[in-house]
Amino acid sequence: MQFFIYNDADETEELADEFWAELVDGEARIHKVEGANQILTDVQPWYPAGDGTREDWTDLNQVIAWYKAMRTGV
Amino acid sequence: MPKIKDANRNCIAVLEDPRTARSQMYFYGDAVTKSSLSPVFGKHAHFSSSSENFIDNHGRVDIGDYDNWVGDGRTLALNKETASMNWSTDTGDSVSNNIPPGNFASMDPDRKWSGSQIYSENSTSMLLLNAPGIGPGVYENKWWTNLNSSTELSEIAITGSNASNTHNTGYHNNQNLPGPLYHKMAGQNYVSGVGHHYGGGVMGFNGSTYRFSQLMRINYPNWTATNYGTRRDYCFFQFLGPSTQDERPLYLVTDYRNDRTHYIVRHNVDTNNETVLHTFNTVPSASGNNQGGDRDDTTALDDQHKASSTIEDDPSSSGNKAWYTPYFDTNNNYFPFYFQWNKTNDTFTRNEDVTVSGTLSSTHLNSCHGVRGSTAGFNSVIYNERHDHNSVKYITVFPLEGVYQGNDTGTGGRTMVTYSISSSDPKALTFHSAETADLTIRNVIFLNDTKTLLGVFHHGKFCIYTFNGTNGWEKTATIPHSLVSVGRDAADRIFGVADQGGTYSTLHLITATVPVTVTITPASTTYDYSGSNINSTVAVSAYGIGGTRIATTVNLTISGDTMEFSGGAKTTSVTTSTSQDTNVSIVVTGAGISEILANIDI
Repeated sequence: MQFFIYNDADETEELADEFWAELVDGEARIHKVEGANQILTDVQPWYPAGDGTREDWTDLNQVIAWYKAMRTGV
Repeated sequence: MPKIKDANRNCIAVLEDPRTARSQMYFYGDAVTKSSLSPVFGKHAHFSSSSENFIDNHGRVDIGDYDNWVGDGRTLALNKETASMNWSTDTGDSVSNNIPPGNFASMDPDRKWSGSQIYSENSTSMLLLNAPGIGPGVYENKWWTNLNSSTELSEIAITGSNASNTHNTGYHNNQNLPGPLYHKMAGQNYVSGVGHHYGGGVMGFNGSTYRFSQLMRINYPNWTATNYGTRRDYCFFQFLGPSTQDERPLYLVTDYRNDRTHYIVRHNVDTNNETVLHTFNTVPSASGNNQGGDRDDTTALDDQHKASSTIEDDPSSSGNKAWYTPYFDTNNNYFPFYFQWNKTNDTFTRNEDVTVSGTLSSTHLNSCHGVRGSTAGFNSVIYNERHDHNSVKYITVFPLEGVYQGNDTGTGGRTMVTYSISSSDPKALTFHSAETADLTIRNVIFLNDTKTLLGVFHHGKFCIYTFNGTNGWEKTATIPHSLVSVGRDAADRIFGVADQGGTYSTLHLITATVPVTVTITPASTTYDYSGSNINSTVAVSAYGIGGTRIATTVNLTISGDTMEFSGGAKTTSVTTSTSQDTNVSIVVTGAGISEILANIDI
């Protein structure tokens, strides 16, 4: 699933980083998209819950929300 | 404080070869014998592979004034703890206000960051001079690949280098920039470290700057490529050390916008990606005098980066490791998190139930500036560090502030607060002492291995404190110079670099055996001369940077016609004692004023 992380308040795609998320055998994988290339940047076998525990992933939306929060949120 | 050398600032003031068996070190690129510091004539480090230009061959590209761009690895590259401060007088959102974190960036006691590093495996090696940069566009690295172990750095040119000084040369697009390097993963031809991200704009003057905010790996043993990992804006990566399971390096990531968001990240160096082992971001609950919640970020305390203590053995879990990370509750009181690292499976626990007895930190630490926008995003750091003294465990909280005079007003932003730690419970702290520094604390450095001797960087002076069990940190010496970098070599000699304005700097030796204070105290405060000579004494003592007495030769000279030493001499020498004053006989021979001047032979 494609998603963007914006680098400015206006959320223009020209100033965004493009990613591709997938779940493979329960393992989340984040790829950074650079032109025609996809670079695997994050391999996440579990969802690292905020209390320090590890859980199975539920779906790709959870993966993307997790990654965006880690990149830009608290 | 003996001055060793005047030189151009665009050089590494002292380079100590990380290969401790080598006999040379380098003052501004010129070789000296490591044991005696005497010159090796005609030899200098070859920092350029082709140029005969002096600057190219002696150290660094021109990066501008010290007051803007000094930093880790640029002035001192030594084998023991080394720290720097920015000497900017800018008071706003400027990259020149960021704090160089080289002294606390690595939490691994066996792999502290240094400006000079050696990595090796089998028959390969990489000797790296790593200057990770203060602001966007400023970094410089040089390396020797597969250097013969017996070859001095003055005998062979570097293999390669990379550098940038584009901090004020117009608009630059967003980009990643290399930072400090820490660890070569065994069996892999990569070194792991932490990089910066620059959001674009006029370098150094606007545009977001996220420092130490993403992983990076470089090729080993020849730095031909750099790969950057996932950015975590607003975060600070500290190196934890390699996993004992698979040798992959682990990092603690701390978000500065609150005190409770941490990630433990494994750098999968071999496959060029990363995995989050744990996330901790729950809001601590109230318990006892810990009110939990989030600290105030508008008054009293603001958004500061948090720097965790050096990793140590976990006294409550044999074979495992632990550290303390600063956390302030909703009343802005310090209740650090106690992290535990289970080495058998790389699982981590964040303990939020640390108790503090006695005076809480907000009594002393209640007025700190925070980070100034995103350009000066690393100008404010709360750093806590551990040390032992007489078998008692202590931890001190240091408020570091990079902005000129940022915390000068009042005392609530420049007070160091120390707690003792129960010998039976690492989560039980008791207030011990508080010591207010003279001015804004721009960085600190421990000057001995036991961490009981502390240097504090200020604008205009460098102060030295000694720890005692009764009063905690007490100031024992003041050096009236803006030292921009201070560090120790493997022989525990302390070097300091002072900015002299323009393109000049001076190198000084601040050794514990050299006195910084000599006292001469006459037996009487006044003498009434009535025509007959008066026999009396003066008490002479010499004190080192730790405030303790030093036995050394002090040369005394009487200036004036109304006093002489016994036998009629105007000069004499005396050897001071490590235990008491040394009395020197004098004779008052007339009415009037005479002075006794002292100097030290080094």
